[in-house]
Amino acid sequence: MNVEVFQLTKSFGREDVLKGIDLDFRTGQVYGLVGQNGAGKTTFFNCLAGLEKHGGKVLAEGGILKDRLGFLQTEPYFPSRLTGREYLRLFCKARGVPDGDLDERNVFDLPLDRYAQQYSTGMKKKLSLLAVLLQKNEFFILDEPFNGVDIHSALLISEIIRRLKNEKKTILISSHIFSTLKETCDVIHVLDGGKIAETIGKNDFDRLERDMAAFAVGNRLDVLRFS
Amino acid sequence: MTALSYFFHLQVKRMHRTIGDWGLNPWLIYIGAPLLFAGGSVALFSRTAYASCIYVGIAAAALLQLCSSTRLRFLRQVFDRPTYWRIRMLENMLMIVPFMVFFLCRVEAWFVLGLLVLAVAAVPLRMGSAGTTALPTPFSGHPFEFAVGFRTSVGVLLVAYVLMVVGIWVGNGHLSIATLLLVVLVCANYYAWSEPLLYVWVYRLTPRSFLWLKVKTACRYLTIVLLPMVLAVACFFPDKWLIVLAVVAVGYGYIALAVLAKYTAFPRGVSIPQGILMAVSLVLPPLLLVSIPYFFRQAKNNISLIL
Repeated sequence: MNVEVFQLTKSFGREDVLKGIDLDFRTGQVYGLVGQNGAGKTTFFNCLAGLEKHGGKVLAEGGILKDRLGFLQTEPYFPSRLTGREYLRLFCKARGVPDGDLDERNVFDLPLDRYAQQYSTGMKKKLSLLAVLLQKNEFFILDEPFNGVDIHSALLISEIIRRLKNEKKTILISSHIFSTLKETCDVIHVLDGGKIAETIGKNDFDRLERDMAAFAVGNRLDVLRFS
Repeated sequence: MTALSYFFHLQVKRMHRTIGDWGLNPWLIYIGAPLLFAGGSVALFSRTAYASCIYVGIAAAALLQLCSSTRLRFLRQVFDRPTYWRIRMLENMLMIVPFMVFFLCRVEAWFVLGLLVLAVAAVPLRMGSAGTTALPTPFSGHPFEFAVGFRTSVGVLLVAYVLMVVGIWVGNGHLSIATLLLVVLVCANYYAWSEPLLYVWVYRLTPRSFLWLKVKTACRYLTIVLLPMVLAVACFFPDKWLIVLAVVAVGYGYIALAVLAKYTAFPRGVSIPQGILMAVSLVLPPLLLVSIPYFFRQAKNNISLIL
């Protein structure tokens, strides 16, 4: 599913967080979004999903994006005393997709009959990801999908992203682990100052990584005395 | 400022902000709440001979609010052991001060002593499930309000069932019928808090179908909880079938109102005028015929911004 974003803006009070973003997402492509903390990545995702009011337009091929969008949030929320199974069932029912065989489709081996709120950070992330995968969405926003997950699950998530791409799904990922973006993305957009500062193709990922390391570390640690 | 005084300083600030978020002048609450408390206390003691016991029960319930395991874990994490115990002791004492003052005014020294014992006993108490086993419910088919609510309130529902049986045992039909209403109010309370936006956003439904689904699920699950009680009360008190029927009808009205009111202001809480309309509808059930369509319309408009 192709999605086009025109001049998307978002302000909180007087603070302009997003200052006119134009992006084009094509079917079967994996996009990365990087930016410093507070750059507006999550705000952009919320606007794209329609969870925040915003300026500009988001046009999705074939109708409303929201109903075909799987949104994995950075910190998924689970009400207390809701089991993993009930959470998955809720997300399936909400989109009218079958909610049977959950044990069979539990690819992360999650303890589905335990309260989701008692899951570890990584398990919560996996449960939330599994819920959006079961919904059979066309477009995926994965906000920090590798946060807190163990090495085996991280490998599994990378493979899931590859398979989604093969199934012609469109994916937008944000991750603070650059290697995961490098491995899975076709294009990376750099968000800075509320705008897309740069769009990088696969060939320039190494250069982007070097630039980011230079900017992030530089000589700023010299002011700290560790001993 | 010591850690202890800074903690309480922060609590006052938080309270001030919360009241501000309600859109009220905090002084209105600081002056109004004690007056309301005193007025309520006088009214309670003038109406029933068991007022002292009820009063202690209310104080105990208030103390339990401070015993959530998540909250206590946070306090333990932040403060050293002596400060933690001092905070717990002091906040419990502060919580019972209004009750103690009223008992002192009535010269009921034994109850004052009882409250002090209660406050001290509640200091090491921790509430909230730390276990990993989930309580099975018949409500997992359509999560989540009833599944979550049932697990939270299973104790109260059990008490309601026991009271109903007691009512049948002693031949007190009104007590048994009152427990039906108690169950309805407990279930309506499952809709008292707002889930995050995503939990509504995720539905592929029109606002009307979404609200209809929520009301239908609430009514269906209320039936599961209520039906055994209704049948028992109707069997043992057949002469009161009309009252039972009326209570059940009003009960379904209440639960529908609770669902719709929640989505009227979602994801915020209901406004004060809407809260007043709800409260009046609870007291005067015929008003449900007006308030339910009103809240439905408001909820539909509000939800359409999300769905």
